[in-house]
Amino acid sequence: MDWEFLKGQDAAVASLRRDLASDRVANAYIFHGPEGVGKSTAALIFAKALQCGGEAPPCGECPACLKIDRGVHPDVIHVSPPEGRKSIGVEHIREAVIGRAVQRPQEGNRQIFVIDEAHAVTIGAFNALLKTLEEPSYDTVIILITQNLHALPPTVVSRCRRLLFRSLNRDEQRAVLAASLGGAGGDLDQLISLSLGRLGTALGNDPEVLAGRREAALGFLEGLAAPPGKADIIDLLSLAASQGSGSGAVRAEVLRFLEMLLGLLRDILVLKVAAGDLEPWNTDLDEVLRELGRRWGAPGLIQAMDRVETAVRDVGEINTNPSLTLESLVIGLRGTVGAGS
Amino acid sequence: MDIVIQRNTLHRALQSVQGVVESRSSAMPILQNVLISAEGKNQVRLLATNLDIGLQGLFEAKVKEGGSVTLNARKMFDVVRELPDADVNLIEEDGQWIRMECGQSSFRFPGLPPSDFPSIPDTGKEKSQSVPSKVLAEMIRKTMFAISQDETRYTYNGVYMESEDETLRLVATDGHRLAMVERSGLGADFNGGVIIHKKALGELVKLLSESADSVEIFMQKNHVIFRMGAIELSARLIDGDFPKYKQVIPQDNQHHILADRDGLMRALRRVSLLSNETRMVKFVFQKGQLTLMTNGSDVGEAHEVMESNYSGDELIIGFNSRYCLDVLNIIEEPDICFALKDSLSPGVISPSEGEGYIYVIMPMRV
Ligand SMILES: [Zn+2]
Repeated sequence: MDWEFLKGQDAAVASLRRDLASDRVANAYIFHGPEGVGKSTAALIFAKALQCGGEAPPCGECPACLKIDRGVHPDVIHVSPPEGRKSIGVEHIREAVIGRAVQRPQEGNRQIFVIDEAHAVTIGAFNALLKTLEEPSYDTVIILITQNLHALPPTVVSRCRRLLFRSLNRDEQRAVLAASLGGAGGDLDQLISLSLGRLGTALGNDPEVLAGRREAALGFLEGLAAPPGKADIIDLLSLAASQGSGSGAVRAEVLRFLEMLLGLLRDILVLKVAAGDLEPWNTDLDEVLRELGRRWGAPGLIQAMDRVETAVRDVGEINTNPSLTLESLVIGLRGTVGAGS
Repeated sequence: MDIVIQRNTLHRALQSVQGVVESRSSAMPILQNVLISAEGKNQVRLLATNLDIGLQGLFEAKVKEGGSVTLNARKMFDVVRELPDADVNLIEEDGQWIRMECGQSSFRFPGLPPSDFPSIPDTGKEKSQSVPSKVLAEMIRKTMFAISQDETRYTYNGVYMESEDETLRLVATDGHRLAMVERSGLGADFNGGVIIHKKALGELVKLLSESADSVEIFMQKNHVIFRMGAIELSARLIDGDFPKYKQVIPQDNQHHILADRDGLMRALRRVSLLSNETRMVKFVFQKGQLTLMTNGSDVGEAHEVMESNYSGDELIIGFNSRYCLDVLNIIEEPDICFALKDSLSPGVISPSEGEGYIYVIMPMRV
């Protein structure tokens, strides 16, 4: 995998390659832009280019490149919120980044820290990180990845080289998936729909699992629209429980489920009020979603999306019990059906 | 890989790496494993690392078929501990499973690809410095206790080791006190210095105590490696500037006061029992005598007088009693020497005879 893989991100790629060619690699970068457009992939390729021992970095074949591909290079350190959590705290940053950045590399040329979802880093953790950003050692590169540049403190942003990764349209997404999955991706349009246009999701998940999740989310919405009954709650809760044994895993699965729900609600809204201007992700569900849309008014749909977003925050950021959050979500969503129509 | 190794040898080999195996599950599960590789016909290499410290050793074994495997170091150690003293056969199976047989027992362990194991620096044919193990162990013991316990002050979390003009020097400080030990004529000369983290020092001291003669030191860009016989410990270096310690060591402390180390230590222990939370004990030097005093705490007050060769005007200086006791415990000579200037300047404690050990301690406001 090398730069060719990053379809549609010519400006960002050119900038990184210029830094490499002129040996003026910054000590800290921010890769920002929408989810699933290649930020993490770019960080990976950049890390390989920096650690590669081959002739034309990133060669993709030397031990360093292979280790980075398998996620086992000791000098390429990935930091992201713990499973089922939405924040990265000060202890986490201290242990994974600051404490390591003061050491010399283990086997590579440098140490590269890739902080995913940097908007989830707490203010306290960012403050602890500031000194590392201010007085970096030559062999440290920190890459902050975020969808939301404005969620980062200005003191941090000003110390990083910023690269914007732009959104990809459906054709560009199809091209990326075709290049990386080859023939293995099956129906690529279907995959783009199932992953709500997020390439990261499309590449990192089994399409059947995604389809199962969408099926469940769709069933849930249909259950909501149907006359009151308890089956939907129970179905939803058992779905969440079936996804993992640890509480972190349940939490993570509930989050993924809620995000799928949000995607479907968004598509229903698009079909109802903005068809022609915006394209729904789930193009294959057109009829079903239009039909479901008849049960809600536009204000009701917006209310419903708000409720789901609140639930996402509760489950991810606050230490609530996911099943309790889901139960109150069901009751809250029922109130949105028919509203404003 | 297919090797036969004696149970006792395997037990000793696994025991030697336990200290550096990652015990918690981390982002890199392979750090919980030990890498076992066949070397030639008659040896195996065991290797473990937690990315701060790497440890490897060569052990005798019969190699039937070369290769390497990685498996959970703790689990394997637990199993080997329970085996009788007999030959143990380790065989690599398909799909990265490892079978271990001993007598009638058979065990299978899941492995991880050896190519995923972090590489550990190789000493190759580089130039090394050789130092008697006992000397290095003593030098570490005399400095390590002064390392900062504050985990966020990274450059204070280790001992600084340097050589200069054929002198090997170790320095540690936490900002309140500083310990420095020097030995010359060892032939150690690697130009410059490095900070070695306290975690690595702990493991090193253990290995040095088992090492009979000398330790070879290899200085590399990113690591320092200590080789003791067939065992090698590599420590990742801390990238940062050690405080300019030479500026901290006072040169013009004109009062030199001798004291009986043991007597002073006992008196200090007694008097400090009634110190307040700052642990301060006042040292009152008057012509011919030294008085240790504590007052101002809720629990009471104490003082103890002893003879002294002090001959100047009255000098009162406060020291953290724990910092004083730390060094009095470490010094082996019967007499110590205080070098003081006034009540606000740092004091120096050193053995009264012989050179090469200096302890600087900041005074407290009395
Ligand atoms: Zn390469």
